[in-house]
Amino acid sequence: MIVQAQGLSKSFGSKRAVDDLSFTLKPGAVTGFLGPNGSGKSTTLRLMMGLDHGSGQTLFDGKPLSSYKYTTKVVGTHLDAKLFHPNRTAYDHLRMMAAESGTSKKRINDVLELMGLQDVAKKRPKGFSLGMAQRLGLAGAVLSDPQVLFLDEPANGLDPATIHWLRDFIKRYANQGRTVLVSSHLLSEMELMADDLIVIAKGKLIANESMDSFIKRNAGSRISVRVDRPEDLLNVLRAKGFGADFDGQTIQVSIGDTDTVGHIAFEHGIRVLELSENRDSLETTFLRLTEDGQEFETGGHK
Amino acid sequence: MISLFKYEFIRITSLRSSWVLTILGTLMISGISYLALISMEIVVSKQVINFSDLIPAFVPIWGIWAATLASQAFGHDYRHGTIRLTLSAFPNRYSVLFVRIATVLIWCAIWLAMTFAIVVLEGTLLLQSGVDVFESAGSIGRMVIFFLLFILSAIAIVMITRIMALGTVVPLMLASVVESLVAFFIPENLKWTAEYYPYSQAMTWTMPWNLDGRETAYPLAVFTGILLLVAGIMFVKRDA
Repeated sequence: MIVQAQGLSKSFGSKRAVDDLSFTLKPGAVTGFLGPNGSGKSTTLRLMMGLDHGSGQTLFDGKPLSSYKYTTKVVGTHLDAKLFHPNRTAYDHLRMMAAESGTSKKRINDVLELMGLQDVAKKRPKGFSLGMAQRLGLAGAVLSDPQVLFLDEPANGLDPATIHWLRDFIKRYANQGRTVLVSSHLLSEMELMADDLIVIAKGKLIANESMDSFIKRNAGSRISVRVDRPEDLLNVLRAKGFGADFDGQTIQVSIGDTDTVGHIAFEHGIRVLELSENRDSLETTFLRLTEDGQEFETGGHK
Repeated sequence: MISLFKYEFIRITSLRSSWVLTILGTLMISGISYLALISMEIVVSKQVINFSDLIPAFVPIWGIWAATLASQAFGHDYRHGTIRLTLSAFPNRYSVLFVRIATVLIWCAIWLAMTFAIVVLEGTLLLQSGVDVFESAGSIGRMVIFFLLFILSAIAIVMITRIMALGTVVPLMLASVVESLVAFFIPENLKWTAEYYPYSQAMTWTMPWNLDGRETAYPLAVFTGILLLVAGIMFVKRDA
């Protein structure tokens, strides 16, 4: 199912929380939703679900959500880790949520088992850890087997093993042709999980493109080379207009690629001992791009 | 719409507090009606008691108990943020509003009917001729209307303030304390306004005695109507 957000905007008083956001989510892909705290991610998700009032619209396969008979079969949401009544048992919480789409009791039990909650199904979630609460929220989101998933920080509070499980689960879900939008602060996780990225800062869209394209376009890279005659290579590189620095052990080249640097060294009879390219991680790129959102022009639309 | 009723029914019945409130309220009504019936039989030596004779003892209890149930049914969703789950699953807010109010009223109506039946049963068991319900049809009708308006005003207050406790406290305080104090301290030339105090007028209207024909439930109906209108607009227009 294709999800199109068109011109989403929302203000709180004089503060523009979401500023004319438009993007498209593809089926079969996990889209990471990135932005610093207070950048408008959660507000955007609420606008997309019609929970907050603003301007713009969100279409699911060209239609607004309200036009579908069974909403929870279209989109499942996990917008907050503790969005449940602390005294309603996990099973009853899911039974209540199943009412909209007429989901069977078997499916409820299957989802409880899938999330590893079968042993606490009859317990009240007020004593749940944050990780268990997250899993109950996820259970609610996938209960009706929706075509679209919106997950807001689903990995918060999860241990590494559960984060690994969650990543596999989300990727498998998307691989079945579903559309998944995940916001997260765990950028290393996002790098492993997301196919596409939406990056916002101060409510404005900074990027909407594939993860590879985003990193390629925005991430800086440096060539690191260790040779037997570093002073000679440094002089040659600088003479050819490459930015190069020597730190006592390796030469760091700020432009070019490993092939070019290798050829130059070979042409001058310099023996290369080590040659590698160090590309900025998603985290480094993200932090650089969002350090002051207003300074960056929106762009990168597909 | 049926799935929304099912959702609301599960939402209310899956909470232990709903049952605790309902059962405690029933026990309280049963106990008080038992004491009232015994005292009436001994003191008044009446063998046939009209249901309306019991109403003064029950109106406050019925009202407060039902307002608490109703406030809880609406307030929990705001307190725990689950209103977002509700509105994600059911984007049509008008339907949610209608069904939620209807479900709470159905729950309270069943409870009211059950406590009526218990009082009549106790009367039948304790008194030779039992409790006469048909003679009191008018009083019962007035009490049901008061009950309905009291619950709706509690619901509206919770929806406006999003604070569960106020749904119980505000109607109770207005009915039992605030309106009486205002009536007492108000300047002489404004004493006539006492005829329009919603809760005290409507409560007096439900009583089988002390009526001079001027008491009505209209002020409470208008007051509740305004509150509900504001609450309904806020429910639809506000961010969840």
